[in-house]
Amino acid sequence: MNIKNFIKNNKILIIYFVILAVLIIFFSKIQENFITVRNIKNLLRHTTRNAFAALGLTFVIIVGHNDLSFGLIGCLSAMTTSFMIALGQNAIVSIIIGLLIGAICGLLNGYIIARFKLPDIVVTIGSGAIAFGLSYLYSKGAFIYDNFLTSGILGINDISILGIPFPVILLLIIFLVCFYFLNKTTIGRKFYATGENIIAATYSGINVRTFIIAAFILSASLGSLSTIIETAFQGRGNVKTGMILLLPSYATVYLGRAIFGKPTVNGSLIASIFIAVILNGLTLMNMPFYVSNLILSIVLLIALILSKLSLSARRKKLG
Amino acid sequence: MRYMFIWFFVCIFTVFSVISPVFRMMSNLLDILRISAIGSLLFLGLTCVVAAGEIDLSFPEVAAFTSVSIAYLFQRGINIGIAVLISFILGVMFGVLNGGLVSYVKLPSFITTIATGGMAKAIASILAKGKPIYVDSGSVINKMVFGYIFKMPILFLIVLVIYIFIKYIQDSTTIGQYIYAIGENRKASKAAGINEKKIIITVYILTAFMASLAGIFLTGLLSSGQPEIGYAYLLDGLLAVFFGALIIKDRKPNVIGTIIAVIILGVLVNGFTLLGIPYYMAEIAKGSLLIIGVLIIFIRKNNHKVLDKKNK
Repeated sequence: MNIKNFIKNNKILIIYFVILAVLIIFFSKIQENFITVRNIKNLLRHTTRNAFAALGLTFVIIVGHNDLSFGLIGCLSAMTTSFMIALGQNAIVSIIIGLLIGAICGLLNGYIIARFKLPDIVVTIGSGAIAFGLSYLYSKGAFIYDNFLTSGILGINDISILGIPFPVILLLIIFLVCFYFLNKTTIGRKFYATGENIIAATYSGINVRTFIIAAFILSASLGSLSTIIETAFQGRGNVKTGMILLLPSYATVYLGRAIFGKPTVNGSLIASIFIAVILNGLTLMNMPFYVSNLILSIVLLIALILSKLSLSARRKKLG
Repeated sequence: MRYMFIWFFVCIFTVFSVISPVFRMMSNLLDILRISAIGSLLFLGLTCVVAAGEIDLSFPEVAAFTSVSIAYLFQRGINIGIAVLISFILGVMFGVLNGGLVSYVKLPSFITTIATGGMAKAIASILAKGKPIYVDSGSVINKMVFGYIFKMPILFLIVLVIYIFIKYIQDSTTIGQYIYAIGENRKASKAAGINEKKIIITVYILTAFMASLAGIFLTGLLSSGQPEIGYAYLLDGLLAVFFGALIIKDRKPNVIGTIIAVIILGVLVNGFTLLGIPYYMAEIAKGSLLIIGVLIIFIRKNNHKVLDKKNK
């Protein structure tokens, strides 16, 4: 009885695991390199990069908004960090400054959108463009290499605790914090409330403006975290670091939403594994990047349609 | 408010003319008009979509797709006219897809058009293997793009004609009014009996139509199919639509405003380039202008809403 109920309630989750298993088997048959230690490390790296940005975006989607700028703000933060390192600052300070810049951009985004009730899509396209343009100012767009080796920033990627790379541990910690926060505290509920019905939330005494601003700060900051870690991995400051975060992050959050019925951090986390497996497998097959874009867009569309279907099914049940 | 911008424009124009001798040249100014023409086409449909209260982020990629498709087919020996026709129809199909998904399946327009745009771009990239496909099409398209009638670029005149036609539809027909009605208040329009599904599909098809047209001209302009058109046009498009809304119709997106905004943008970017200001500064300027424009539009709108509540 219990197993039957479990299957009925978690249909999509089960489908997800099945498809994931199929994908993994498929990729490992096509490319023997798939299940090697080196590739698994690669996979983890892609997952963490995706997951951080997606986690931030999840908050924005939970409060019922959109953010197109987190990747480009990430470019700005990554270049800021690189610039600081090139100036001779030590790694930790540089990273903190980079994250701070990201947070400030998020704050500005959130404030303008929440206070003036502007359309989030248009505003974040604009702020993303501004952030991207600003990131060119440090080096006129050139890569920044100076001092990277000596500053210790490369350590971020290389440190392993118990054999697990540091970024993965960081991801798990942040994820657990976010999970607890969103699902087990009142504040978390308020995030969801703001997204579900902003008018009802306002009348319930929730200061929706604060939550919207907080969501945008988180999205910009976590996006910055993602690009900074990527910068540490690449060993140089690259203006374009964050540009590719947008589509995978959206696909991830919406896939998670399709699985769990609403945007959640656990949904985003396991969806990011799914997306990372697809992207990694395609790269191993030497498929060029635009094929991955195609697959991601299709995944996004399917996730959207799935969410819509389950939403209308639930509405019908409620009568 | 609108006069402020016209004075602003006149000032900038004068400044550029004084500082840069190249700017003043007739050939340069006509160049601006010709390049603006393609942008205007791209953003024409977008104007209607935004007026209807939705958004379309796929139009640059549809243009890219059409452009690449023409080059791809032509390269394989297909007659240029047929290549254009097939690519055009395929491009418009994206509009049908967008419209269907947004109005019938009721998916949120923003994310849907991101996905369809991603697909269009990906298909374009796959066809072109990631690089532009060069074609030597010394044919009708080239003449249309580069030719002059009465010393004006033909392309610009074609676009002008299209714009006048759409303006007529916008202001003097019921369907134009319906589009604005849907944009203002979707539920009320539906209750009033307006078939919003049909109108939404129409505006999305219009956008894809215009985007494909722009793609055709782009292929002619650059003598190649370009898969990487993308993000820059997104920013420019929204900027043109919102600034156009400010200038002419008192905060409603409209086609005359859009075309004027595109020309102003063209002048700005041209001037920047001639003055040696790097590209990323223009990006910063554009992003700021977009946010300022949206701020002005929406502050007014929200103030009116507050006033209404007080009056009740």
